Order: sequence, then structure tokens, then C-alpha cells
Amino acid sequence: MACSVDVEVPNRLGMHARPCADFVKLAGGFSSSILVTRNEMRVNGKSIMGVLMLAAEKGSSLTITADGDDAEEAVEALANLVRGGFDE
Amino acid sequence: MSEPAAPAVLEGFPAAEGIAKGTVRRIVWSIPEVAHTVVRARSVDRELERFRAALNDARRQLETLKSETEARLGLVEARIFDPQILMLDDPDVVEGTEGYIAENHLAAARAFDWRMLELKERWSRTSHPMVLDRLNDLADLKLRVLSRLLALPEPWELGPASGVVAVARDLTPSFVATLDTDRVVALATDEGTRTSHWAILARSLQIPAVAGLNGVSSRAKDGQVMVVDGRSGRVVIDPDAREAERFELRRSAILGWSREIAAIAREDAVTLDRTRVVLRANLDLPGEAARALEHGADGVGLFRTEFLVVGRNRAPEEEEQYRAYRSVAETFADHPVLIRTFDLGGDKFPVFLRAPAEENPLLGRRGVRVFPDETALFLTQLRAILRASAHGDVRIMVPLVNTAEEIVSVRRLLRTARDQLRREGVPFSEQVELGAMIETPAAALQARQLAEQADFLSIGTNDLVQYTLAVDRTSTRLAHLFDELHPAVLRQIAMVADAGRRSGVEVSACGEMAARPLGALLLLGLGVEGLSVAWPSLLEIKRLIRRCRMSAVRAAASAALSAPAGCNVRQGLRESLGDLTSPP
Repeated sequence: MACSVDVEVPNRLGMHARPCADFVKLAGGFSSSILVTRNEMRVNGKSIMGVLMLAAEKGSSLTITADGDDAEEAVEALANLVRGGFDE
Repeated sequence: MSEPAAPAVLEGFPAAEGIAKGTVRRIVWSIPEVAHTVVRARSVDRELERFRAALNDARRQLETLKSETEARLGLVEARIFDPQILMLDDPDVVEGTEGYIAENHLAAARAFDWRMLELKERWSRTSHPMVLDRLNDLADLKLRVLSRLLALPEPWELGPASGVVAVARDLTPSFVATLDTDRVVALATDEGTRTSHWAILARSLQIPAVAGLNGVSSRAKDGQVMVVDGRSGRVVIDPDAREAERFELRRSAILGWSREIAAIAREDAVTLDRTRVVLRANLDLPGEAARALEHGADGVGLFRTEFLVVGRNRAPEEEEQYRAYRSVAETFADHPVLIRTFDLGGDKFPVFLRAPAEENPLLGRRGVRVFPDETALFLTQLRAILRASAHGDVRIMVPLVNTAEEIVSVRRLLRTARDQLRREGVPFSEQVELGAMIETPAAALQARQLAEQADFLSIGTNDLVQYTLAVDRTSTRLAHLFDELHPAVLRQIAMVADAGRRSGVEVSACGEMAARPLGALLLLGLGVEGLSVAWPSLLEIKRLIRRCRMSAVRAAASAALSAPAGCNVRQGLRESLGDLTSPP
């Protein structure tokens, strides 16, 4: 099962190294495959190399897509993490 | 007599404050050239194994570096190594390299080198500063893994020298995290910026550093004298008598300022006319408590507890919370610690709570409004706080209160928590105070009624300003309208202070405003008794308090109340109070 959600990066410094690390760690806990899209760029949400490359600044919008048994949970958890501004 | 060579002056980015003079030691490190080596088909498995072993080694080294950095500097600094640790498990890195070994029969070092080059290429193409900054982490990791695969010697040996200015093309977080600060007095590099990970570590270690000095590593020679001014970004190679004198003057000015500040840590926050101000610290993490205490805080005015919930997959256990609260309470044995209950909602909702998207989250379910739906979560938190009260003066503070009824209902839940603990025979103090945060105009206008139910009031200026002015404080386009000195904000603060005085409850303030000189003075002048600021601002605010007269501050604040706009308030304060602040 696949599902997807759009979120906006709210924190001032955007997805710099630590938020990217938090995102990848959380994504790694789900069995679904996870993709993150920003503009034309689409990367593997479980890859720090990929997520860092998005250079998602404050205000940029991301589409998080998951496909698998826990897709719905994964998308919700990751979207909440981003919306939460990574506790910054 | 021959003319001495003119000193060379270079300008770069100030990366870490402070000034130092020392002897140049060039740190030359580069990623080694890896020969193109192909192995026999039967050696493929052995190369795969060597690669995995090198990754495991690198992981162990990085975990050690991370825990040493945490012990030396703190968790935030330690987490600088997280991206590198994750890269070791990254499918892009691992599967890519393994593919080159298994399919193309490349030697492990060559396969990894190749894969990392490809990834670097891909990153460089984006040319975004956020990505380019991280190329440095990539280089750090690459060097670490290749060193193991090729059995390279340690890339940087300082030798026995001391008073060293380390000069390099660029540095890595691993290098700076393990620096011997007794011997290295400053850093200067060709590349990098203030946001490079190594620069963040240099600031925490308080080693002056200047980055982005085009060509410093080729111009400076080992043994030359170099002055590094990490506040202005100016570097002087071979200073002459004039430059040397200039260095001494600047160093003593900076030293004087930092001595004065350090001496202040042990003094009380008291004005020239003997008014004692309560100056406490805001904490985001329990680990900051020790620094806050060193910087002379009279306790904790805002202990944010969201670190226990945000980014977690499940709610925190009572035991973990209790340990966190207790450790801070014990650090501040003689002073109160105001613990704010989880401030959820708005822009932060933890993963484990179902939070339906709201049209307007900042006007939605947040702060105390979440209590009724998540009773179990808050009951556990109240129990943990009560248990910590057996070890110190902890107090409970509830965010985003609008009505007295909300305080009453939290008090009811607090009574349940007490009854439970009493039945279980768990020790706690019966005198734990319950206070309300004043963050909305509704709360400020009703401060009298709230003060009848609450044991203390704390003004959260960030939200109070945002809700009063209807300006999103994260909006960059409206930043000029987010004015904490707006007279409408000041009048509410005066009302709250007045209500507290009449009801005999303490009123303090814990937002950004308290950490800014003019804001802090206004809060005090309007009658707020206590200020709470992040620990790095404690000494500057204390210095300010110790240099002002309460009578003058009160007069200035009362004039500000009738000013037409924030800019008039600012101008008026500067005229009446003069320039009480300003580091060299």
C-alpha cells in the first residue's frame, strides 16, 4: 500500500545535518520504502546521502511517499517530525 | 639594517571568537590517490569482507569520538558526528561500493574511493551551500575508511610543539574534536565557513578560528608568527611592531571583558540602587544545567521538556523523566527549577500522538489545551515531577493558559498524581507550586483572576508578542513587524506584573525579550521580578543589571508605556539609559 503527504519545513535553519540524521533514523525504523521529493529531485528517505542533497531550507515543501505494510504510519511519523521543526 | 618584510594581512570569515598569537604549523592532509586495482574473482569475497570490517572499524571510532565529544562538550556537539555514522550504513554508500567489488572486481579501497567520488560529484552539482558544507563530512569519512583499508599513518601529527596556530586548506570535525587545546591556540583555513561542523566545535572549545582565508595555507610557512582574530576575521602573518601592539591592545580589551563577565558569575544580580533581580536560566536539555550553574543562574526559570517527546516513537517512561528532572533539581540544590509541562501542538507534535492536521495550528490544540485528550501522558509527567520534588525545589509551569478554570483542572490532575504516589509510598514534597504561563492577550488581561489560582506567573514573551500583534514570529517577510517593544505588549506586561504584586505571587519572564538588553530593562522597569534566559546570555544580562539604577529603569519604562510605537520606545530608552551594553 502506498501513501503520500506534503509538508513544509518550518524551522529556521531548514533540514541541515542533524534534522536530516533524525529523519533518516526515523525512516529506517519502518519496513516500507520511503521516497522524498522536492521540486524535481527525488531521493531515498532512508539514505542520509540522499536526504542531505535535498538542501531543504525553511519554507521548502517536501512530498513524503511510502510504499509497504506500514506506509501510513511511516508517512505520518515522518511528516510530524518535519512539522515539529525537529525540536529546534 | 634591512627593511623587515611587511606583515601580510588576510581577511576571512570569523568562525570562532577570541584572539590569539602563535606559531604556524601547517596541517597537510589530503585524500590519498587510490591506485586502480582489480582483484581475482576468487578474492572478491575477501575484499567484501575487508570493506565491511573497515566500515565497522570506522563506526567504532566515530561512536568513541561521539561519546568523548559528548563528555567534553555536550550532546549537541556530539551529534555533529551523526551524519557520518549514518553514512556508514547508507545504501548509496554501502551497496554502491559492494556492487563495484562484486561486479567489477575492484579492490575494496578503489571501489569505495570511486563510489565516494561519484557521490561527491552528485553533491557538488547542486552547488547549494547547505550541501557544500557537508562535503567536508564526506571527506572526513572517506579519509577514515581509506586509512583503514590502505593502512595509512595518522594524517595529523602535531609533534611536541605548543602555542600552535593550525593552518590548513580545510579541517574536519574529527580533527577539531580531538585537538589538544593546551597546545593549539588558533585555527586558520583556506576553506570552510562559520557553519562548517569543525567551526561549531571550535566555538565550543573556545579556540579562535578564521575560515575562508583564500590561500592562507600556501602563504603561511611553518614557524612563522601568526595573529588570528576570530571576532573580526582578520589574520596577520609575521606581525610587525605596530601589528603586535595592535594585537596586545585588542587581546587585553577582550580579556578584560571576559574577566569582568566571569567575575560577575559569582556576584548577585543586583542593581546599583540595591534591587535584587532573580536571574534564572532556560534549559532545553538537562545537560545544560551544569553550564547554567557555572554562569551563576539563580535556578531554572524555564525547563522545556519537549526533548522527551519530540522525534520519539513512543511516550517517555516515568522513570526516564524522573531521572532527567531529578538531575536538574540536584544541580540547583538551593534554587527553584520551573519545569514546563510538555508544550505540544502548534508547530510541534510528537510522532506517537495522533495529531490531525489543523488549518491554523498556532490557534489550535496546543499547550494546556492538549491536557484533556492526553490525560495519561500528563499524569505520568506530573508523577515524575512530583517524585523529583523529593530532591529539590521543583515547580510546575503550564503553557498557554487562557482561563483560571484550566489551572483548576491541572490542579485536579496534580491531586490525583499525589494521591497515587502517597498510596504507593513514594516520597515527594507536598509543597510543589503550580504556575501559569502568560502567553496570550486573554491571559494578560485576566492576570488578576489567574493569579488567584496560580502560585506564580511566568510571561512567555515570544508567544505573547506573536498573539498580540498577530504576526507569525517565524515569518521572515514580517520580521520587521514582530516588535517585542510594541507599546501594546508593554502594557500587558505591566498589567501582569501589577496583578502579581497585588496577589502576592511572583512574576517572571522567560522569552527572547528577557535576553536582549533593552527588553530585559523594560521587563524589570515594568515590574517583573525575575528574568530567565538561555545560559550564554546570563552574564551579559547580569552585567547589565549591575550597571543600571532601578529608579531610572522604572521611569524609562513608564514613559515607554505611553509611546506611540516600538521605535519611539527604543529611541527613548537609548536616550534615557544610555548605552549600557556592548562588548569590544
